[in-house]
Amino acid sequence: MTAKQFFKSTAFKCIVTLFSILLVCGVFLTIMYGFLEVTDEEKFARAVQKIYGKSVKTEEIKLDGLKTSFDYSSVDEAYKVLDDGNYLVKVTGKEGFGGSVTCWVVVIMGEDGDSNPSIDGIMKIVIDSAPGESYISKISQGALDSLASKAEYGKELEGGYKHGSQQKGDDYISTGASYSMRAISNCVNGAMEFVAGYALGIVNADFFADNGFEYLEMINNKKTSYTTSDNVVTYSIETTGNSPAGAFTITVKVGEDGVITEYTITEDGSTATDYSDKVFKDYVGKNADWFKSVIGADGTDNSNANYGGNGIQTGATRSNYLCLYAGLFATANYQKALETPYTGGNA
Amino acid sequence: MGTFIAIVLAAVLTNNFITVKTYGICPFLGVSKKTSSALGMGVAVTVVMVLATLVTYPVYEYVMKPLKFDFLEIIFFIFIIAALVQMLEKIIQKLSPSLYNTMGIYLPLITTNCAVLGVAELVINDGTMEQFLSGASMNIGWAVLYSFFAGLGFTLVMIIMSGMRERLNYYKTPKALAGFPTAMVTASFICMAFMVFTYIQI
Amino acid sequence: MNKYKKITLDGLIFQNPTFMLVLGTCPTLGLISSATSAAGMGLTVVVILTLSNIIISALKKLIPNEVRIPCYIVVIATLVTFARMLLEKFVPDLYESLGGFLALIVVNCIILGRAEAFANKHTVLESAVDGIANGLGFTCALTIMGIICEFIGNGSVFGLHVMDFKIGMFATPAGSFLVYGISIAVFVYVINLFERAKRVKVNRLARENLLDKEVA
Repeated sequence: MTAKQFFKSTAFKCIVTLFSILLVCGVFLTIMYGFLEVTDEEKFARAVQKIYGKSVKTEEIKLDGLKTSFDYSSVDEAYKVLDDGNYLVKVTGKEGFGGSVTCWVVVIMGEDGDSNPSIDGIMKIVIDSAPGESYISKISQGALDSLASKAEYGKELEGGYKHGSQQKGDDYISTGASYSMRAISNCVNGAMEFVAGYALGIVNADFFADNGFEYLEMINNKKTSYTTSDNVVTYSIETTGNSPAGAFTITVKVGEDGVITEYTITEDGSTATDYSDKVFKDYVGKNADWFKSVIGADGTDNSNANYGGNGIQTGATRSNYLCLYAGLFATANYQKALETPYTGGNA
Repeated sequence: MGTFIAIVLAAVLTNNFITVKTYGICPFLGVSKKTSSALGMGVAVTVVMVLATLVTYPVYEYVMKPLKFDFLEIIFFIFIIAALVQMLEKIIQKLSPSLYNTMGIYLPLITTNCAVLGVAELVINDGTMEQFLSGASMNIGWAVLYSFFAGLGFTLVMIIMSGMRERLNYYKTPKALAGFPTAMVTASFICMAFMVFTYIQI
Repeated sequence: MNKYKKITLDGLIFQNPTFMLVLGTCPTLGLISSATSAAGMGLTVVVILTLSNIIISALKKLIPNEVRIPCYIVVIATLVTFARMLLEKFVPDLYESLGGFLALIVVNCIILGRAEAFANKHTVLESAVDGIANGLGFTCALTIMGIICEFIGNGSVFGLHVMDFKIGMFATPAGSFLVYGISIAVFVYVINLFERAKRVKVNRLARENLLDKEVA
């Protein structure tokens, strides 16, 4: 077939028609796409509208240089709503069921606006994504709303389990997804802490870590404080949870030479009385070296091997570990506490 | 390994193309009167689905997305699928006339089968795939795996359906119910049975 | 005018794509669990089907017979992409509720079927009427089944709460299959009754004519 024949053949006609139609359609769509493209800003505006129920103008907050990661959460994005001064924060909360949960949290600001900023509470919580969650669908919007209504500035919200344990938190809301609710509570706490830092200028300093206290791993530094008088340091310690054991609240008095003179468990985090009976309570007269020898100087939990030799009955290993750690914290930081007056703000 | 199992279970049982997503219903109702033809159609659809994903996923991810003409995906996908089906038909005809006689006749029907375009569109949709991946990042391996097992799930339901319809042939149905209505009520029962699998928590 | 009446009646009732021809089953079964998305799908198809019929019948002289199917597919795919852009821009809620089925309109047998069976043999005006009639036939069928499924399965109609009693199965594909199958049966039964009545009437008239002649 010569070239001339080819250009006259049906095959050529077919190819030309098909390609010209393709070209026309492609050009048409490209032009239309220019007009109709849904930009990222528009997508964001729609997401905001879903959360707010109305369209609002927002301004993105640059996160560089701000404190965005907190104990149990980190801030991913934050926006100031220009219409009413509230803040829209996207936070990822840790300690969910099989991973973390990301939420949008709307923080309501006080009526005075920018002149005298204050945090009024939480307007709304919307779950953004929760990879690895299987029961997150059990959390209804109603549960999220009632969690939002329980949130207030200056209080740590505990809508699910307590940290590191399977015990109900103070603001527990029954949903069937208590781990996820814990992560969502962390989101709310993180969002409020972030807004407090950004708008109110209050950065919740970590008193113990900033002042060089040691052995903080099992100590809830937001709920722990101490007072000093005449070489005696009186600690009020709340531990973290050590799943399945929950948090312990313990009052410890440490006297001369860092020796414990009083050790009282005011709130027992054990899961059952069977276990709380097995918690070792005879700490009077012990010092930091004794605790280090039981726990292991580097703070690793090799307690199983050392319990028996030190007269500690086992059966409540995890609870005992928390109590031992509280004692270690109190005795090892005795000198430090005497030198540094407590200014952490936990009453 | 967890992701592998999650994708297999999702594609075959919990998110079955016919009983949950209702993709590929035309061949499901049209070619399910005999088990042999249902099997042939199922295998043909599976093969085309895997081949289509193998081509469309990289084209979309590595060519169309970077060059920012991903909005033309529908035209490109349907053309790729049509071309693939044509090529496959010719190749099978050349290599194995006997296979062509059993499977080839189903191939022309597949171009307009929404299961094939459906799987190509599904695997490029981040939101849909995320729920099966359990944290792993999406790549072509998972895409092809998903399409292969989605095809197997399709074949499975086709075979169940054809078996039931073969039995139903022995019974007389009222005139208004004969044909499609009976087939659909049968399909409804298969769907109900498959609803059990939604209780699988991966 | 009679010609257009016939096209319209065929599209809406006697050749109804959903009930009589059983085409476009995938979006039907996937979307009738909600009346709103069913109606939205139907209206999208009306627009796309009418436009594709018009374009294809206008281009029927230009397109060589050998490549007509690929050409139809390009035209339809373009219209679907365009419709998808419009919906995403202006009706994002509907865009989300239609989900993957929006892209699958390309392989909806109704559209390609009308292009192949009607538009490439008729004038632009006839094709437009055919597109609207068939599209409306599809829309009506989907909306009716959507209302039934949503009412039983979710206790609401078009998203408005009606009653607390509900059977969840009707909001799943299992219920869609059941409602679709029974709807076809009822529709076919009614049409058969109607046609038999017409036939009986025609026969009676013919007999009376015959008798009149004999008397005369």
